[in-house]
Amino acid sequence: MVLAKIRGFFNVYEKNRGAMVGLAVLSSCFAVALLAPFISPYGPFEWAGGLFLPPSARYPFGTDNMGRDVLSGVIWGFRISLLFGLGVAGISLVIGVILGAIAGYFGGLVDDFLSRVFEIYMMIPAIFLIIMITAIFGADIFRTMIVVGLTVWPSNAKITRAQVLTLKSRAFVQASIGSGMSHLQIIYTHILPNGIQPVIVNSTLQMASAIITEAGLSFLGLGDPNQRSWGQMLYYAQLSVKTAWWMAVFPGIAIVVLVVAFNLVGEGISFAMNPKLQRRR
Amino acid sequence: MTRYLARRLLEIIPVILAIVVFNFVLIHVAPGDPAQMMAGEMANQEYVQEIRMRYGLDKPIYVQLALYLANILRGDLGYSIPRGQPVLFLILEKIPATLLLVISAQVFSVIFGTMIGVLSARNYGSRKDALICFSSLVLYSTPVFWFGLILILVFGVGLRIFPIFGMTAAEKGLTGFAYLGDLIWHAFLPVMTLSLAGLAPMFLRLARSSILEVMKEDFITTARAKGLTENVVFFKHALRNALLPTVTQAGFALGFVFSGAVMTETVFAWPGLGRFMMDTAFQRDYPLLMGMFLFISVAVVAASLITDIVYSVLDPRVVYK
Amino acid sequence: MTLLDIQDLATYYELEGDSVKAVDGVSFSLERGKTLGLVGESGCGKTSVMLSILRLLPENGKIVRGKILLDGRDLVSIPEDEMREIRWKKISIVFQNAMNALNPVFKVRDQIAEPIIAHEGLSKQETERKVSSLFELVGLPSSHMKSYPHELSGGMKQRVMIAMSLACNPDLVIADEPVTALDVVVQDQIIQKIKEMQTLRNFSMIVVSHDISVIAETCESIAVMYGGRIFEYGDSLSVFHDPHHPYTIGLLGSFPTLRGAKAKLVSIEGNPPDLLNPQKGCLFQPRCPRAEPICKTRPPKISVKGDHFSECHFALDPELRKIQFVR
Repeated sequence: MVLAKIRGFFNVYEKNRGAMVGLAVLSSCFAVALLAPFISPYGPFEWAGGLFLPPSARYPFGTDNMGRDVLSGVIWGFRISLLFGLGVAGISLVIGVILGAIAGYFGGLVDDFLSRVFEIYMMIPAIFLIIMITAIFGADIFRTMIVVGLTVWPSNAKITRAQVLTLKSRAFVQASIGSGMSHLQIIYTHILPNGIQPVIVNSTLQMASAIITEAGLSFLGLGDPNQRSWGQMLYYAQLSVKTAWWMAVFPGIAIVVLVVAFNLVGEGISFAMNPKLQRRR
Repeated sequence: MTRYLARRLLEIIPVILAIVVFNFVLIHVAPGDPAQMMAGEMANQEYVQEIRMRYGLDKPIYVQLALYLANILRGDLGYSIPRGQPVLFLILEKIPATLLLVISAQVFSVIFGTMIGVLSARNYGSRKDALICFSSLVLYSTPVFWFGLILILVFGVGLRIFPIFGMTAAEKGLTGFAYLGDLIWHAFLPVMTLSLAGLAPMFLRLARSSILEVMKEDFITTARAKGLTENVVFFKHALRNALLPTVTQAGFALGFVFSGAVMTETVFAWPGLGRFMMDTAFQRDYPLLMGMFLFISVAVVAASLITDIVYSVLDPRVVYK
Repeated sequence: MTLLDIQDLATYYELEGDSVKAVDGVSFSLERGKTLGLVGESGCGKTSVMLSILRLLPENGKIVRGKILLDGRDLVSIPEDEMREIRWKKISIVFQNAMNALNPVFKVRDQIAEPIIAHEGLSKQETERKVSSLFELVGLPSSHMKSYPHELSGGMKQRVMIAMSLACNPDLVIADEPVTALDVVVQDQIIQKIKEMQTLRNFSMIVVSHDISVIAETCESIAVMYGGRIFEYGDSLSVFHDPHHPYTIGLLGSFPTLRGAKAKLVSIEGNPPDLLNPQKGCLFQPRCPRAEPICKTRPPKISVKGDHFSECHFALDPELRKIQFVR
């Protein structure tokens, strides 16, 4: 049953050319991240031979202000970006889905209270919070990941809540309630599998924006100094913008490519899950 | 209507309260002694103790909180010792530059983004539409600061058309129209950055999808059935319905705009609140940091409230719920 | 005098390379001042016929064959700008669910005035006067002229739709489920109002509905549609009291009385026909209690009496009325 659903899903997904391109690019990015140690000419912090060397056959993307190879930085940067994105989306998913499900399932005062929390949370300018926390407690990529995850979960919560509310009134759920299943069991077996779809789309898009957020934070100087992320590369690039244009151009292109891929895939999933299109056999 | 307003205002207060409390808690779990931080590293213990007593840092936390809240209501956001000036003053000094940037970008983005979005929707399904959508996606996926860097590279360093930092050429001492011209010349790249990489793609997408949704409505079929031309159907019947939510979204986007502004100001060394925030972030100037956070949060919340109200006025269907 | 003559109309919708044969060979004619009812379950093609007449089909819909003659002029082949002149002026439409058919951001007075301004070119005062008189005609208090659609009740909105449809004095009004969304009492009022005005202004009507009681009240002739075809057609009294098609018999059985309380729509067992790959022969065969192997071939159009015909192999079977449907 599940397999048929997945196959059906892919049937519709592959009709969207943009989504397929996005998927191809995204897979390549994951591949690059996984194979970084093997395909990267140098390590992320390794001295490559000279400072501020322009792009050449030996250094396709040139070298930076510390003599490090930019191409290697870009390749290793895939790991940082993807892990960061997955981490943020993961945290956001877990917190958001749980709270959203609780709000939707139990309704009443619980729902009222939680919904207010969601709204208020979304109004707080997250970037300032992150800057403050980083400034006070120091820059560490895992802490930043958690903090960012803790600022973006409300959207998942709202979506989950809406899904739960719709599903709650459906016959098969009512039947389960009647048959005496515990709340947790019902949520786990009925509500989550059916309601998870829009959350998946949202999570994909959240991964994309998390990557941009990380790049932004590192660019501002709030990034983890131990991680040579794309944002950090751009931080140094700005200081040398007049002399070494290659330091700014290539990491940025990598960001755009990865984020566009995520967005295309996200849109593709959303398109494929659209019930109107799934009706066709 | 006033009832609606009053109710919304009442809802805002706990939000502000929550923000302040949260701020407070954050500062107090931070490592280090606030009094020591404020007094500076070179200060002797007597001075530190003096600071501690003057700012009530020796009192229990809830007393401090109450004092702070009382002060806020009087318009006193505290005092920044490193800079030797009241926090509110420092903030207000930097606001105009940020406002100039943000408002210009908003206006430009709403107009430009919506126009292109309308164009895209009018030609739905064509290659023009696909091209616009793809370009919009790429811009949307581009980090604001990187776009700024690239603009600097191309126009500032490469072609040398625009200046690449600052808001004015203060050393020239320009006045009147010359000053205005210089200001615009300096502001052009930052505003373009914040618009094209930040806000415009959002408005484009919003306008386009809003219009396409409206085109599926029954009253559009009615309009066609009346024998009206497709242009009348689109521009009169559809747009009036579709663009209403689009324009009002401008107000809700303020939080997003602010983060974009921080990036833009940093890249272009634009002397606004965003850059100021970055400059002071590592100085552990807590009153200042807290003041800024509070100020910005209030601004964002106020903007969303105003947007709500404007929307309810513009849309005949929205009644005080 | 024949106003409308539809000959072998076929309208298909493109769906990912395949064609949904929503209308597949529909023919009927309508005299001036008379009313025809199009009845059938959802998806039988009645809405598509309606949209075809006005050429308001969505992007993927196309009239693939047939003629729609309005006063002898074939609407299928005329250019779009000529069609635009015909819309509302000669043929207007009252949509079901006026809730969504009226533009929420314009006052109802302006929406009624709009086609007048577009087609008639009257002065501002004349237009205003016309709108006022239309309001009076449908029994709406003039205090509501400046209202927005959401400020009106369902019945009032429907009256606005009716007033609007008569704005340019059309020859033909198509009413798509004109009263389905309303409660019974209001239904009655609206139906009476429509009949009143039809007598007054002498326009023809096509009433599309799945509710037989409404059709019975308003129509002189009736066409029973199924799967894009007309199964039975004729004078309404004749069809109601002397049906000659299993489907019609089934439909009539769904309504214990033709008047009175809104009858529960008891549907006929089985699924609607597949219009993507329609089966050979009679489309009703899988659900028909009278079905026999011969039904795999397309049933002929059998004339029962005068204009009354039925598309069933057993149209003339005297025992046909005795068939039982599984509910």
